Formats: sequence, C-alpha cells, structure tokens
Amino acid sequence: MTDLLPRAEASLSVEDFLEALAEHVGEQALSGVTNEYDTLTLHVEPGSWVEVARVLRDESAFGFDLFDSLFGVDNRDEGFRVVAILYSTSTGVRVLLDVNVPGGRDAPVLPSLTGLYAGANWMERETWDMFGIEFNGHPGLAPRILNVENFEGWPLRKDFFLASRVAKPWPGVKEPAETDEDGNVVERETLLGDAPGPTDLDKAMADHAKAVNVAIAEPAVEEAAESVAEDVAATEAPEALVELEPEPEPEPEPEPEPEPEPEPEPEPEPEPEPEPEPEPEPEPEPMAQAPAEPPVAAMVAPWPLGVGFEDEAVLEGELPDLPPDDDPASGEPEGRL
Amino acid sequence: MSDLETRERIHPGTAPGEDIALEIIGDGDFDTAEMTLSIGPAHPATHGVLRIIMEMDGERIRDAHPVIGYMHRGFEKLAEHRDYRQIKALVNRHDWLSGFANELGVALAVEKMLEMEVPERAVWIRMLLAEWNRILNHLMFIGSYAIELGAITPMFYAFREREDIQYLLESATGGRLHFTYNQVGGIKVDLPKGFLQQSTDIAATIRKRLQDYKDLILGNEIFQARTVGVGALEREVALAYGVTGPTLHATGVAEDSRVTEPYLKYGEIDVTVPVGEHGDCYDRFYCLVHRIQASLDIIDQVHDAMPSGPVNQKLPKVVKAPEGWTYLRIENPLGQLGYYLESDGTKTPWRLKMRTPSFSNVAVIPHLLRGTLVPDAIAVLGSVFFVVGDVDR
Amino acid sequence: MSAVLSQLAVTPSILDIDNFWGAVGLKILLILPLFFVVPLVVGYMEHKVMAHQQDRLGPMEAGPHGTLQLVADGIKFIQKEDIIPRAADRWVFAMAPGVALVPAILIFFVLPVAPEVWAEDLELGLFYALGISSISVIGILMGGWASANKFSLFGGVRAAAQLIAYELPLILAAAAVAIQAESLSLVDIVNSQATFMLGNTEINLWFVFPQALGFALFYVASLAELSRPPFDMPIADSELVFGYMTEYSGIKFAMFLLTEYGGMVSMSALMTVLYLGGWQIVPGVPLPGCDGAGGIFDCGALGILIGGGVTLGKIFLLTFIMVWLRVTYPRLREDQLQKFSWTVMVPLALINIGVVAVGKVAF
Repeated sequence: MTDLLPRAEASLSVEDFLEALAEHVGEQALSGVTNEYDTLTLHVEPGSWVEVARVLRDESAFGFDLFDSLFGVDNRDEGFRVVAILYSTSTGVRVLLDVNVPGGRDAPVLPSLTGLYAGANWMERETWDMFGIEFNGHPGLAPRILNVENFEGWPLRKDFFLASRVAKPWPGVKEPAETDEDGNVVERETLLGDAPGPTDLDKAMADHAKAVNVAIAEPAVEEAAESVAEDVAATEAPEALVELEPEPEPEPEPEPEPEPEPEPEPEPEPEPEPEPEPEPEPEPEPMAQAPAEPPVAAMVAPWPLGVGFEDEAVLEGELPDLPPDDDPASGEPEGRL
Repeated sequence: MSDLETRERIHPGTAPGEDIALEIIGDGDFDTAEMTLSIGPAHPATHGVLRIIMEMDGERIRDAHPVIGYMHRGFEKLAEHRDYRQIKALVNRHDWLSGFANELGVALAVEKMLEMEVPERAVWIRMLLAEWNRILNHLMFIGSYAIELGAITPMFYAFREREDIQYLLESATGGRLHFTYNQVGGIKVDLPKGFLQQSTDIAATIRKRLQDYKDLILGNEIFQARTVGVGALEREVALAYGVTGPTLHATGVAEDSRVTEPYLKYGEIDVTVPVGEHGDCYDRFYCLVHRIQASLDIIDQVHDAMPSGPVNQKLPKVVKAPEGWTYLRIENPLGQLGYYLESDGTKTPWRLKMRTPSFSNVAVIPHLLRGTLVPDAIAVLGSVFFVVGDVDR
Repeated sequence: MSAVLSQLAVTPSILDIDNFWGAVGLKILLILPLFFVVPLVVGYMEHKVMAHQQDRLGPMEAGPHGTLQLVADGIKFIQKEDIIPRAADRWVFAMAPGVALVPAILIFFVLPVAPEVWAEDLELGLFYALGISSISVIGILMGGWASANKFSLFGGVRAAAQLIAYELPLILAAAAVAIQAESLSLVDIVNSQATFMLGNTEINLWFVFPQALGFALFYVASLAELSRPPFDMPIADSELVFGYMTEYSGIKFAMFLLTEYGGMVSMSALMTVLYLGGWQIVPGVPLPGCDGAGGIFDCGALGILIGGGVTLGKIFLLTFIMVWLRVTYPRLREDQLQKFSWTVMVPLALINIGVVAVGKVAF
C-alpha cells in the first residue's frame, strides 16, 4: 500500500504558479525563471529575497514548508549566487530560488532567511564559511561551522585553489579524457576553476601508458615493435620509453620540467634533453633470465619508481621543479584570474 | 571553607564567639553553579566526532550547542576536480553507511542532465542494492541505539545480519562498505550467478529475525520507559529545519522521495512508508524497524520483476554534462539526499552541492535537547539518526 | 579476646579451634578464596554467558577455553601504570577503592558456607552484613569526587542517590526474613529454614516459598546496590564513559571491579542463606552423613563438602541470572530508578513485612 501525502487538489501548473506568485510579490521580484532538467528555478532580485521566501512559505496556495537547503555557487566574475531550495509537502512542488548576491566578489551581502526558516541558520553559516557571503540578520555567523576556527580564506571560491592539485599532477593511470583515441595527449584551455590541464609530466606518463597498452595489445608483433623502437631511438624523441630488447640498463624516460602551474598554452618544446639515467636496480636481469615470462614485460620498462610522487628525490637527475611549500606564489598560477 | 572563613566572608570583622545575625545572601535559593559539559568529540554516545557543549544545571540541560566540522574533508571542493567517472568513489564516503545511495544520487543527477536512458535491468538492480543498503544502514542504527541505552546484545545480532548482507553485496560489487558500483548510464557489471537466490534467502532470514528485534527491543518495558515521550519533535519545527527520513516520518509526515517523487522504478511497485504519531524517540525507532520490513517487501517485489538485459551502456570517451544545473533528491536511508549539480559543459562539475540529511537532522538537536536530562539527551542523540561524515562532508 | 568473641558468637564453627591465632588463620583461609577465587569464576562465567547469548564465543585464548582469562586480567592490572589525574585529590583518590573494597571482604565474615563452616556466627549477623555492605557507598562517592572529572562526578552522585534509595527495600525484605526466623544470626536463619515450626509440626521450609515477593525485592534491590544492569546508571558507559571508575587504572581499577564481583557473590550468598535454605540440597532431604536437626548439622566431611558445593551452586545460579539480566535489558534512567524504588518497592516490602508478621502470629 503506497501512502501518498494528501496533495492539494489542483497542483498548480508552472504558469499558474508564476502568475500567483507575481500577484503576491509583484513583477519586479523575479528577474527570470528557468525550468530545465525538471528543476524549476526562480531568479529572484536581491531586494525581494526575503519577501519571496515569505510568500512561498505563508500563502496557502504555495505552502512551501520544508526548507531543503541553501548554498552558494561561484559565478565567476559576476560574484556569487545563492540558491535556496524549498519544498512543499502538501503540493509536492519543489522550487529553487536563485539570487545574484550583490556586492560582487569583494563584499557579498544578502539578507538572512533565518527568521523564516530555522533550518537556514546552519545553511547560511556554512555558506559564509565556504564563500564569505555575509548574511544580514543572522544570529551569529561565526565561529566557522565546518572549517577550523582560525581558517583563512573561503574554500569553495574558485580562486581558492585545491592545494593537492597544485602541488602535483594527478598521479596514477592517465585519465582517458586527456588523451584522444590514438593515445596522444590533448591540450585544452583551462578556464577559471577548471581542473588543471595536463602538465608535461602528465604527458610523459600518458605516453608511457600508451606504450604499455600497445605492447599488451600486440604481444606477438615483436618485429614491428622493434622497428618502432629503432625509429624512436633514431629520432631521439624525448618520450622514448619503449624498450624492446632487455637491456642491462634500460633507459628510464627523461625528466621533463613540468610546470606545476598549468599555463594556458604550455610551450610545445620545453622538454629538456633526455638524460639517460642508469638505474642501479638489477631489474633487467630477471627479465633476461626468465624467457618464459610474457614478452610484454620485456618490452616496456616500468615507470620509474617515485616519479610523480613525493619521494622523487630518490631518483637522480633532473626532477620536476615544484614550488616550495611556503612559496606564496604556489597557489596562484599565472594567467588564471 | 572553614567556619572562620565563612564567617569572615559574611560578616567581616566579627570575632569567633560573637553573635552574628545571619544574613541570607542571594534571593534565598540554593546557590547552585551551572556547569558546562562537553560531550565529545570522542565519546561513546555520539556516532563519531560530534561535540555538543551543554550548559547544565545539575543533570538538566539548559542549552546545547553542537559543534560540527571535525570530519570536514572538503568533499564539495574535491568534487569540482573529479570527472563523472571518479566522482562516485568520492561521494560514496560522506555517508559511509549508505554508500550505494550516495553514488546512485550522483549518477542519477548526471544522467538527468544528459537525458540518458538507463537499461531496465540496471534500474532494477540499482533498486535492489539500494534497498539492501537501506537495511544495512538501519540495522547498524538499531544496534547502536540499543547499546546507547544500555542493551548490549542487539548490537551483536544486528551485526550478524549485517555480515550476511555485506557478504552478499561484496559478491556483486566487491565492496562491503563502499561499493563504487554505479556508473553514469547503468552499473559496472552484472550480478554474479546465484546472487538473486542468495538475496532471497537472506531476505527471508532477516524477515524472521526482525520479529526478534520487535519483541526484544520495541517490546521491552525498560526501552519503552526510556524512549516513549522523550525528545518529541513537532511537525512544523521538523519541516522548518529540513529534517527528513525516519526522524520526519516519526512526526507523522510521510515525506519519502520514493513515494512522492519516484525515481528509478519505485513508481511501479508498492512502497510502504511507516509513520509515527508523536515524534518521540520511540516513534523514530519504530519507523526505523518498520522501514526494514518495508525494504524487505520491496526487495521481494524487485526479485519478481527483475528483467534480463544489458546493465550499462557505452559511454563517450569523455562524459561531459551539458551546461545548466539540476537538483535531484533521493531517499537515502537517513533521509533525503539531494545533489545540486551545476555544470559548465566540461567533464568536471562546476558545483556539486550535497544536501545531506544528517546536516539538517543534527541542526534540530539543540531544539530537542533543551530542558532534558542527560540520560534523555543520550537517548535523543541516538535516535536522531545521523552519520558524522554526512554532517560535515 | 576469645572470651569477648564467644559472647558475640552464637554457634562455633568448625574453624573455632582452641588456638586463637590458629583459628584466625583458618578463618582467613576460608574468606580469602571466597573473596578472590569465587568472584573470578563468576567473572569467567559472565564472560562466557554473555558471549554465548550474543552469538559469539567469549575468551578462548588464555587457558583452555579461556578459563585463565581473569587471572590474565589480574596480572595485567597489577603491572599497569598507576595514573592519578593532576587535579585529583590524591589521598581521597587513592583511598577510595580501598574504602569500597574492604567492606565487601568483611561481609564474608558472617556468611555460612557449609555445615559448620563459617568465620564467625554473630548474633546480629544479618544486621552486620547489611550494615557493612552500605559502607562501600562512601568509597564510590570518594572515587567520583576525587577524580576531578565531570563524568565521574555524575557517576558518583548517581551512585549515592541510587544506593540510598535501594537500601530500604533491601533491609525491609531482610527484616521480614528475620521476623520469620526469629533471629538475626545467619546460621540460625539457615537452621530455622530446615526446622521451621508451622503450628506444631516441624517442616522444612525455605523462606523463598512464603516470601517470594520478598525474595524478588531483595534480588532487585541487590542488583541496584551493586550497580548491575538494568540499574547501572552510575556506570552508564554510553553516557559517562565509566562513571566513577573512569579515571582509575591498574590495581585501583581492579579493586573496584573486585568490589563489584565480590559484591555479586556476597549478595548471592546472602540470598542463598536468607531465602534458599543455605546448604540444603532440596527441602526435606538431609545431607549425607548429617545427624543434626533437619539433616543439616553435625555432618561429617562428606556432608560438609557437599554442603559447600550446594551453596556454591546456588550462588552461581543467582549470579547467572544477574548476568542474564545484564545481557537482556537496557538501563533505567536515574529518576525512573528512584521512582521505582520509592513508589513500588518500598510499599511492597512493607506489605511483605505485614503479611509475614501476621502469619507469624497466626501460625
């Protein structure tokens, strides 16, 4: 038996709803309406923020009694938006109230809804904590609700960079999105707030992964792989990672100097000269001594241990240059803002 | 304080032996001191790191201020740097007792924006696992609530049941707690052979054992004495705070996303929503136990209706959500979990807001705790079901 | 000295040999195992019973099937660091476990265990037993206060309130037994259960039968005295971490625990003596080798051994039920606890006394 809540007899259609709302708050209260992806959003003028919410709560035609949530969204240069979500248990309608917070990015201020909905209290505290948006009339925005009390900065703003992404690129298997079908790395322009684009270290890792995949896909074609290796060796391409004969000293890939801050247009040839580093490990010996092993393992040298992770000092030779931890510029790549 | 000192304090200058006229200080009442007690962050009664600063007068609480944020991990910020393939492993973890429901929500949000048709079989499998996850979650709270009140045995029974279910889910998804089974457009792989049979068996076992819980806990006089009438939440207050889930159902409002805004195939089957009357601790627990029963009924219906077919679909190399935003709400075991997904056309979200049920449920705790005794406070805290990771994200 | 003692003692036990210090030594030898060994066995039983009722095994490693678990625990406690919180009142903190423990040992002084096996049979044995057991409350209060911990303070205050509340039903129920037995001496009470004069016939009547209500009251009140669930608000470990015992570690903590288990044994032993006929196997069946009245006195060695075994068996039965209750019930809130005592148990205890007194006069 499915219990349905008693729904209002005539649940208003969107047009009727907007008409009724306009009757109560006036035409100027809303600057627009969006109804995409099954989400009805009212774009409210900042001056009528509280009024619209009050009307939606108190008028029986609407009856939005469940306060769902309130949060901020970074709106790039225009400042911030605050979205409040209200739901009516009697009509089953949900509405999003969206407002452009006046004050831009420097001093965003909005009236508080705490007087109407008690649930807005913590929601607004969290929005202030994350974005720095002040709420007039709030009983007490401080202390910070989620972050540490002495935290500096507003974390969810797009100009607050996620430190882990700045310090090092995404380690591990290359994301498919960064490579096209052939396995070549795709450059893209990174906008404000985007995940950083591929760095040179990323490209090196991508090429290595591609080589391994190629080797796995065609294990029997040693001759073709050998010829490719010869070509590769002949051109002295910096990303020469494929090794097809078990050499006593496999050449690890060279260490390009990746910029930890992805620039919008990374230079196509910042790659330094490949510096073959003799690896002290006796790894190739087992490869040579175990002919029963699949040829794949013999064809591609493993990714050098430690590259891309913290203990890069283990390796000799040129290492990617990372900004020191206390470098104030480390959080702000150029050309982002 | 010695006699002499007391005398000095009240009547400075009188020597011992002199008569003193007693002067009452204060307004004649006992001068009791108010005490500030901090429950948490590490305390057996709070589920995880939640701190509640209570101003107390003896054993009565005058005011309570929850301090949250001890488990804040910055999920919303991290989500902005994850593409839609990686994001499910992240959102699994804010409510770790309902990992499947979390992933499901984000997958459904992305699918809504992409207007993607999910294969039938995948939908039914999602429902099946979501309901099993719900039972898993509720069993945990049954055990933990009973142990907070002093009954040490139900915890073991509940975890015995949980082990069975986790074994079942592990056979399909590979995980006991974090499943990472949903994908945009379906689920990862199909169920293993024998899964449905085992699922039916376990459902039958749990249904039988559920009667034990009802008799031994709900029917226990001491349990009833501890929970009936304690921590009553009024309907309007609950709605104003945005409380959802069993906590809201106990106040009499049958607001359940599976029923009011059916997602997946909940519209095609019967879903029972148990509601309470008074909104006190007993009703919340009652709703919890009966939700398990309702989930078992749903599982039986899903078993009967499970179609065959593919379970996922070929995705483009890069899953990019179109520009715009959407808000999707599903019924997490703890309440209504909402995901606001705003995308600017790239492969990572521009903003992913997780509207977690526990955040709103914990927000109502000061209102509930004012004026109660400490043991009642423990009973109330345990009955407002929340997971701290959900509160803090 | 022995002259003084002989004024107090009513029935000499088998341990009252002529050599005074020898007698003292023998009596200590009796009490020590009662206090140190039997509670450990009871503790082991609690581990195992709790475990099996919770669908698990319990201790299995230390000794065969975990029999040496509590011995291992004792050794562990002895070698632990003794931590005293900086803000704690050092002397009170250190003395509290002792103040709680010593009365628990002293109660065994008067408990008769087997035919003619007891330390002293005081003429006011029952009075002494109940009085001594109340002194432990002071130790608990001291521990709660001196710990400089708000949770401990809560626990201590709750314990004091609870123990005071439940003293009354305990004493009233015991008083009814004393009325029926016409004596406060515990040995006399055992004797009177074996040789009860109903009218003009001598029957074998365990006091649990006419005073089942009193037995129930005594049992519940003793649970509350010991802070055992469902009356363990003072130690409510989901609220107060561990109540008054929170800040204790090492041997002091072990002393508190021993007080609890020793109290379980002593209360069960008291109930055995008061209600369950002491060392009688079944009412009406004399112990083998016993010639005395009712078949429970003047026994030979076999009778003594069997009698001791029967007492221990009854003690274990009663403690088993205590453990069973612990596993099953959540805990009562403090005010519900108090209300239960003052509004339910005390009136019932008074009614019990009334009925017994009337019956005593009538029959």
